[in-house]
Amino acid sequence: MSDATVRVNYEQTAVYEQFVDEYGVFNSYQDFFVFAAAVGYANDKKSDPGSGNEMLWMHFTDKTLYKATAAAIAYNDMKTPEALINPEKQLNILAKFQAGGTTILEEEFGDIEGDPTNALLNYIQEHRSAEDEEGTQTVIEKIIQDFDDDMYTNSE
Amino acid sequence: MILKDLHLTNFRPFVDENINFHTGGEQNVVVVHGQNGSGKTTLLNAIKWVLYGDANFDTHPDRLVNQGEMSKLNPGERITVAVELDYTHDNVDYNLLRKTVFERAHESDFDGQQVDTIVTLKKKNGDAWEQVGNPSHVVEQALPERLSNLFLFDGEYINKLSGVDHSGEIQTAIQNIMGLEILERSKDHLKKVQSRFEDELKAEGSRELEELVNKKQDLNGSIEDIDRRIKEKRNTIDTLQAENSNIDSKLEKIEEVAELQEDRQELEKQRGSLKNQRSDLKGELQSNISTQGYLPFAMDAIEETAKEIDRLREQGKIPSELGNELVEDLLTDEECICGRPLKEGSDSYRAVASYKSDMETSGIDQAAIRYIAHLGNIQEKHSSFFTDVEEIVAKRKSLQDEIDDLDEEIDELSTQIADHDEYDPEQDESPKELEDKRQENIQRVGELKADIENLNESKEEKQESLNEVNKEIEDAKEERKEVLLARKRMKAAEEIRADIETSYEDLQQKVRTWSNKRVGNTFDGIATKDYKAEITDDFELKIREQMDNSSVTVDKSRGERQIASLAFIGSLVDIARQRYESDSESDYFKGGIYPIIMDSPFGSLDNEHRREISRVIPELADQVVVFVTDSQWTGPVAEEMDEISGRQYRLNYDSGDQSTHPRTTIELETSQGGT
Repeated sequence: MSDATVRVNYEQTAVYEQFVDEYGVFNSYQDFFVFAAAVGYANDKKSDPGSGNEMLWMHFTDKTLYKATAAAIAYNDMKTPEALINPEKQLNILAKFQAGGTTILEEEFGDIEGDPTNALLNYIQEHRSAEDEEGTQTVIEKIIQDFDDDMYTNSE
Repeated sequence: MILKDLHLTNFRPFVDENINFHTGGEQNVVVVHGQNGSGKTTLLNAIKWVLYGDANFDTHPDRLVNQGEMSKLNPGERITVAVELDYTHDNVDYNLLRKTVFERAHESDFDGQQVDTIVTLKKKNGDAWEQVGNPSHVVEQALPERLSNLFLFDGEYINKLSGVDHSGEIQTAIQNIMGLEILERSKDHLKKVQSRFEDELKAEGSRELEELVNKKQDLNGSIEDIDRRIKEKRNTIDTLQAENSNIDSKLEKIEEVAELQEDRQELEKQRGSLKNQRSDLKGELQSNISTQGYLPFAMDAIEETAKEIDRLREQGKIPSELGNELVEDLLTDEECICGRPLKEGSDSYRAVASYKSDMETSGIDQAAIRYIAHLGNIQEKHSSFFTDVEEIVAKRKSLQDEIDDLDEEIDELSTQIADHDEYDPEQDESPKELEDKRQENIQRVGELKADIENLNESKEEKQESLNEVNKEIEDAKEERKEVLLARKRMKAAEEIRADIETSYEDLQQKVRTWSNKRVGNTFDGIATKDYKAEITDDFELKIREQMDNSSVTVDKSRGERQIASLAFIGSLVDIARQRYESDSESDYFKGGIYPIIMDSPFGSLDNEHRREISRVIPELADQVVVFVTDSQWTGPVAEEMDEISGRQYRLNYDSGDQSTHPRTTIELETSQGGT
């Protein structure tokens, strides 16, 4: 089976319509799916995604950052390097986190009347930690550098 | 339909007058000059009356008879009002005559009592004229009444088409030009069929099913009622906005407030432009949230995974070797994992190229290294997300402050205009009266928009309930054959109706796309600024300004609006002509050849825009008739249109004195080309 045909059921509740169709905060259901999954992951909330709506891996194939994010979330959840190469598992885990994230977003924004863009932005900003950001940046830069140095060393 | 001759007998101020519309070649325009009140609008109405038996006069709507001729009659005597139109359709000459006989009831009766109306239509067969049965049907085929507003119009209609939020007018015009009555009729018919099967279900089914069908019918009724109310409210908004546009023109002409009005208009234009920028910023903000908003929540996972991969590297479990495919990618992209540029021929390029080996690494190795390769990009997007949105939010705040300031200034100017309560005889109202009406309209538009929003919400709720009821009807357990059959038929009728509605919408979008292309081309060729006109997916006529690599919606000045509206009308004439000539049997939209007759399309525009509109006019249709006042004609309009006008007529209005009644005569001023 090609990766492109990998598919998973996911939870599609009223917030999908609210954020995507009604107010256009998200360009597509795929964007909202990944956002909800990240929220679910950050809050360590997974649940059963139910059935009825399908998300296809092919929707992510031209978005390398989504693929990397899916791999990261799956890797952290499964704690095995195999998670890096198995799109089906990645998508399944993502769907569970998005179901959890969707419940959180439903609770946060379900009752908001009108355009939720500003409220959502506040929500994202509340999650921000400048200190963590700096730390993350340092760590990531170092890892990239280490890999880079290693490559140069090995090629000499 | 191409108009040839119009003859008026005792019709309002015209006693016995004639206009010859023959034009030829490049001189496809007929110009009719006349001062305000000389009968230009009456001429437009005379054409509508002879075609459809309907005329719409602002003053004395029931008075058709010429007052002077009526006054010569004794009570009990009769007079005939007649309009005769010669036209060509499908290469056949037609003569249409509509006459109404009036009887004078008493000495003070100047309107007369209608006694009889006769309509005759003849067509030329060789040298002979032969009577045609069912004239209204034949006329309808040549120039359908639903199109009369589109092809016989005044400046007000042009304003309506291009006004802010007037998408309803554009959509209606497109629906009208398509003339998909067959689809409309099918939809209506299927609705009746569906309702019949619903009744059968109620009669034959269980009590529970009967209740469900009742519920469904109630919900359908409510949704239709909401749709009707939304449509009415949209129409009212269009009318109020056109009225305010008219008030603006009047205020511009009153010396005491002209400057204030001009200043206000300029500020309103600026405010419109700022609001558009605010809306664009909102789009930018949403786009950032949509594509990068997840990163702050996912960064922990991304960082932890990177650390794990790095640990595996340190342990030697992941060789730091790149797969050949990845090396190729890096060289093509000319950028290393670390972000270092890889220029062909450079040391870095050669170093990375040397990573290519005969050994292929495992899938996990590849995936891990790819993951690390994307880290830099992820990190960059994460860091820029908050910076970018903060910048957008700050810009938005500053725009909002500017909008608030403009609101105050506009309010102040409005108050100053309303302070002038001196009566203006030319506009027949004082600035205060006009301004009060304007503010009342603005408030009313706001209320109507809020109503529409509420109605839409309510419609959505009802639609959801309806979907649930439909599902319950479908799932209801029924045993009897008749019930099952009726349910199947009801569903089939419903599905076909939904399909037809979808086709109808698709066709509208198709025509919109055609029209959009033509409007864009016409507008490009005429408008002097870097503006582009477009008809959006939502059927709005918008003007966008080109700025380097992007474009922003601009609040249109009246000039640009009128040019875009005329270009839109021209596009529909063109589309109709192409459909007609293509002789297509493939769908229902047949098209036709239509003339355009317009009353005072120049309004109170400045000279530059008048010139631009004069250039658009001959492009609009094969035959164009324009009514103008002398003040509209002078300067650029005359310079542009003298050459292309086949004939020019003048309406000479005589207001009469104590012994005579008002009368207008029509005089041929110039004639070139045509016969």
